[in-house]
Amino acid sequence: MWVAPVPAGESFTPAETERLRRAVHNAEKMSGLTFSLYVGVSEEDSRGYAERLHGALDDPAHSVLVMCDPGFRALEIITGKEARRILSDADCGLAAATMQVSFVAGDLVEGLAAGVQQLGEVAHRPPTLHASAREP
Amino acid sequence: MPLDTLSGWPSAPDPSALQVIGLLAGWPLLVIVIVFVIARIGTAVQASRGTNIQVTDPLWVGGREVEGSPEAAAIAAGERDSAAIESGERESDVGGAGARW
Repeated sequence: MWVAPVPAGESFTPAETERLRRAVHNAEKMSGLTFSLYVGVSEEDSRGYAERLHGALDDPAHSVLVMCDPGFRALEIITGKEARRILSDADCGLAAATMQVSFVAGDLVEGLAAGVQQLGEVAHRPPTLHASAREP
Repeated sequence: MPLDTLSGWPSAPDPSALQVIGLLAGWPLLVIVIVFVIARIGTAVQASRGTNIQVTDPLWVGGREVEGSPEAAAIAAGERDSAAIESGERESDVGGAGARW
């Protein structure tokens, strides 16, 4: 797990940036997946743009990208091949709906943080205890 | 309803029907309208603050920062597939969801 140095966007205060970093950190800690959050300008085909950004990540198979373009009012969640086994499309859709509600109310940061947190919680895999395992 | 007054005090005049209606309905209505207007103003201010965000400087949290790297422009333009796509990951392998607001 690694959190990149964040180039503080002019649109966000340091406290807001820290809030998002903490949400990403918690989600990664809970799920074991790599979470990336991108807030910026995309293009008309936001899905394609998000997939290209996701593909350019270090380990796309185990990565989850949340891309938000406030200008186009577009939100995309991309899960890699392995991440998709843990985080289904339906789970992503629920998280997207959570974020959407906050975005409509005008709270971008809270929506993103809540959505990322939700994704991390859904992808959380508790350690399993095998009762039938033989003792050495 | 006649008003009671203390002994020695002049008797209070009975309120008119208009005054009773104003007290029981007018003032509560006025308070409700004021609260509603304040709430609407607060919501409008909050909404405008959120939607007017100008993303001049993209924000990346976690993962590798793609934007700003030499390959970013080519990736964004779709001229060049990413490293992961080159290594075999196809678009059909990825999942997720999207939303508009």
